Amino acid sequence: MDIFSFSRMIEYFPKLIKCLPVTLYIVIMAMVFGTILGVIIALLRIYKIPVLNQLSAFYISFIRGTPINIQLFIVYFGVPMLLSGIYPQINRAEPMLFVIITYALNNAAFFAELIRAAVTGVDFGQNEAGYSIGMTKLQTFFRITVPQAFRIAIPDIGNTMINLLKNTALAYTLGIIDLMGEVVVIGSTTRHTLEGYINVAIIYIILSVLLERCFLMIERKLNVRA
Amino acid sequence: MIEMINIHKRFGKNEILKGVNIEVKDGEVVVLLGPSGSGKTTLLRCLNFLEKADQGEIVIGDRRVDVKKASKKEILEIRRCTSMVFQQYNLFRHKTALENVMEGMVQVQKKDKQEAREQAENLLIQVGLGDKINFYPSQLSGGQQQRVGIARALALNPEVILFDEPTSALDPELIGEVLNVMRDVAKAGKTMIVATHEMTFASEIADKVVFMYDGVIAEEGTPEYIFHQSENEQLTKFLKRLREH
Repeated sequence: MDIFSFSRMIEYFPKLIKCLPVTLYIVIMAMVFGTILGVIIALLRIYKIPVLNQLSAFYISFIRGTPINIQLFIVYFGVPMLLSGIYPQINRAEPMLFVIITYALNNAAFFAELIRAAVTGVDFGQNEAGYSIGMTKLQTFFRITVPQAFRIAIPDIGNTMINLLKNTALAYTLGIIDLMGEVVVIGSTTRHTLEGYINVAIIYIILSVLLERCFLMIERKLNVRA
Repeated sequence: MIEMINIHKRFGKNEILKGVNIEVKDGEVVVLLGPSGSGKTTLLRCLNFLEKADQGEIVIGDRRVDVKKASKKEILEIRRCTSMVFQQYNLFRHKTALENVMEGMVQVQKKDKQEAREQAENLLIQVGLGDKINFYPSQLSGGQQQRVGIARALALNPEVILFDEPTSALDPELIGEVLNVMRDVAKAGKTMIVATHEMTFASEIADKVVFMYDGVIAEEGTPEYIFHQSENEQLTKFLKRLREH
């Protein structure tokens, strides 16, 4: 049986690396939109805005409690149905749109929770010190709470990003040809899959380690002045 | 002049302040004395609006505020002419000693950065920390942090500085340095209200000592009167316990 050969592994590598931008594109888009939405949800939770707070809590537990491939399919089939009345062209939209929506929604939930934990983790005495010198609530929030919360959140942001990166490997289920999608394509055309999987495993590890290092560096930089 | 008139404050069922009246003249140092739970800290926090009293009036100079009707703007104004030195120092952890002192001058008083920096440096030199201006709170001892806290309060040139048990979180050998700085502040003519258990310090520096008991002012007078002459029952019991300690 010819299950594995190094030459095939090396042969497939360039094909796979060509699909890396697709993976990175999903990660970056999900990060950007997920962060914006996550901040909004976190604020709704922190300031306990009636109704929206409860909705946010439900939303977060839904996202955290369901597998991401199920979320992908719910968005893929559900969003066009919801919007078909207002915007029928949505049926012809690229799957990539739904992938980005799903990962952004998913990331927003995790982000919201980590922001909430970080903001409420800042000692209240820090706020009081801000008020006592006559700063407004807004000034205190942006100049005192946010910088300190950011420091608390950094390790969690790193973890969330690494998880997001790994989770994008499920986008192929909607037909996206990212790193993982390309492995599946290679597998079905050549009937050799192991080499492709090992290749992408290596790429994912390298990316994860790079991310981890980046965040460690930021953490250290901030900790010098803590 | 600072005046608090008929201040009431309750937390849930627990009435902490039951109608407190207190008057502090400009340049006066008033020491608040009393067992824990008697309302000293709450009184100070009400004056700085870190707590909003339920009832009463606060007068600082020509500003008069009915706490019940106090608007956001009035609260901010009162806060800007009072400043607080906290028991736990509460220095901004992500800022250096210098930045801690500058923060209020730049953000609240909108002073020019360069000018604020010079004043902040001078204040830190005054509290004996001229060589530590670029240190972060975590790199300073408790006594040093509290001296930065005092410099931060002085920086705003407030009408009154409130000290909420400024030495009770400190190791005994560090208390002296903080009290020395407070003595200097008092000598410079700053109006101060100090909640403390440091009796020697109180008798030496206070113009007036106010003894609080169970949410009211039980006795007040000169240090000499409070520490040696008053026959108030709660006060004598309290002093006896402090001296035995």
